[in-house]
Amino acid sequence: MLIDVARRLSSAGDLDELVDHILKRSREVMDCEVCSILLPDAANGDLIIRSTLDAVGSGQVRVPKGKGIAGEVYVTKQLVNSQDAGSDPRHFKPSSDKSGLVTRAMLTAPLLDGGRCLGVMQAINPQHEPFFSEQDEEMIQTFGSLIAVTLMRLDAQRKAIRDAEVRQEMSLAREIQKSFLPSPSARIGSVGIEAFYHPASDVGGDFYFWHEAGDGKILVGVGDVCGKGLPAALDMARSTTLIASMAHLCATMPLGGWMSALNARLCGAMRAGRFIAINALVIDPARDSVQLCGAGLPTPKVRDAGGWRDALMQGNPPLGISPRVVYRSSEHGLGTGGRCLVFTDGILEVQNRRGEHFEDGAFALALEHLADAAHGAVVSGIADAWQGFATDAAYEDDATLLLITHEAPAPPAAVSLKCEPGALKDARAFIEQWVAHCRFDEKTSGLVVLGCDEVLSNLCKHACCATAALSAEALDGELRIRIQHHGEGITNEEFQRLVSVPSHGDRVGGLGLYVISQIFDRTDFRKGEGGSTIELVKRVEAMQ
Amino acid sequence: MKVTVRKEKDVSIVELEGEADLAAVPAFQQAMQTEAKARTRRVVVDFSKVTFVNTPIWAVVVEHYQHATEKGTEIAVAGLNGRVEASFNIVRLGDFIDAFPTVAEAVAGKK
Repeated sequence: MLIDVARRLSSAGDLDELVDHILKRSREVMDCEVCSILLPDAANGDLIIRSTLDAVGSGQVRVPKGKGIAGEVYVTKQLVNSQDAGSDPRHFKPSSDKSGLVTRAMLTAPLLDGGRCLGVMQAINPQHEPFFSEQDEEMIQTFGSLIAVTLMRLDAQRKAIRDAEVRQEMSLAREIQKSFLPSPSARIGSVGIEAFYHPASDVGGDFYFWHEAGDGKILVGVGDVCGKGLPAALDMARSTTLIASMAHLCATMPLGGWMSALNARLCGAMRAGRFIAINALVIDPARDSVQLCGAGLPTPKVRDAGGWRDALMQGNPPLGISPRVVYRSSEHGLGTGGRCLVFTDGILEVQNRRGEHFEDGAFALALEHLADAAHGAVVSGIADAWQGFATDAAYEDDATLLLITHEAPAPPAAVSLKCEPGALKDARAFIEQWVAHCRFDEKTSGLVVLGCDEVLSNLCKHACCATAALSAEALDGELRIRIQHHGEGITNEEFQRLVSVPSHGDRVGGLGLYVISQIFDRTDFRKGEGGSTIELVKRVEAMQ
Repeated sequence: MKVTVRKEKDVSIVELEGEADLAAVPAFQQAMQTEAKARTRRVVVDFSKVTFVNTPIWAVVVEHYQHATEKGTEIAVAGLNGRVEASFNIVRLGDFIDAFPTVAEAVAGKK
């Protein structure tokens, strides 16, 4: 019977069902009138009785904390075998017990997990003996051990389920929070925007934003809500929504005035001493200018022909504290090639294992190293340096970084060419403009020009087409070159088959295709009834 | 592209100038064929005044390397710089064709 009970216990998944089964089987084994299990109520320490008696089997009958023999056994963790429990002054009969049970002999045993008491088990009134024997004491203790192990397992299961639910909720919260952030990479006209966002936990109080304000102006910035976790995340959601709803005002008012207006709205909404630090910029590409307003975050960096330096700007207090603060902004030139870098204190204050902060030198070193890097490579380069710096160290804070670059106007997007050797020079001139725009180094520029020339030379030799359309765009940190024609094209499979590794032996051909395969990060050869397309992609980051 | 040929003792120097692309192949091919018939000891292709080279030009070099070595003539290149050197390296011709920094060293056959 014990083996049967143990098997049932090991497979039990529901506590109520399990307790009912234990009580039923233990009453049979103990050969007694009633069996009960008393488990503590986590809220107040009372013992809640579950019994084989239907009248008290509803879970409503309680023994107050420390009361009765059960309460004593729960505390002392010692078995009590009472021959006449009804006369024992320690005996406690709950007033809510309407069962009419007259208690004579009672055996009370603790349910122990090592030194911890999980509850109490009782057997009342043996059926064929006046008292419970020593053998009964051993039996109830054996039952008690089995029950304790099972209760522990169920407790662990419940905890695991709770943890999984919490993790799921946090994951959902993280996704919801991300939905308040715009794309980390964007280009608005001649302005490139690139962000790095690293919350310290699932959700955080940092954020970044960018909005087209109107009249060609662009509002961008980073923010840091004081505190961490869900409360900070909720304030972050409120702030980003408020900023989005007010962004259009930047088109017609100075940034300082706009920040004052935002502050007034936040002061009415923030509670419990919370506040928000924000560094905001309004870029006006048509006037080659940028307005800066800093409120509680590290001074932004700007880069011009002289390299990276701290922006000259007046500091302001964080937002959400006092509606009477007048925020002041400053205006600077931002010519072609100019850059602004705004970031939260989590970037500067992260510590490595030696206790050094990123701002102690590593940040300046990363900026110097990336001085001539292309727009797309700067943020990823700093992020790599920052993450490498803090390897194995616990990040202390959320960290956010946002770069804006006022790029030169893009070269012409497309050109039409005759498919004849004399026209290849024009195609190379077109590609030269794009490699310069993407700031590839000299060697890579030459190779990209060579790779495109190889494709077009092959068109001249093999495609039997009169013209080709050559187009290019710089997007998501890549230079994408597209060649379309109406001659004989090839597929990706044919491209792979035709690529020939250089040798001095006899070759069918394909040296040009080999060069193309070596130069570009991605190639795509498509042919169809409407014409053929070749796409050549080179990552800008790979060039730095 | 401009192609000129001169001789220093028993070495022919084929000097290229400008952008060596598909349009330049016929002139370069003709110059190399002429020198192949002249049966000189060595043919040096001088790229020092070249700003761009693509694989059709390298294919001409390889073709004449194959024919010349059968007839005991040596083929070498000289004056590779910048983008031209990058082009030479990516097609891995250095695996079997000697490249010299200058024409003088190529003529002497000493790096």
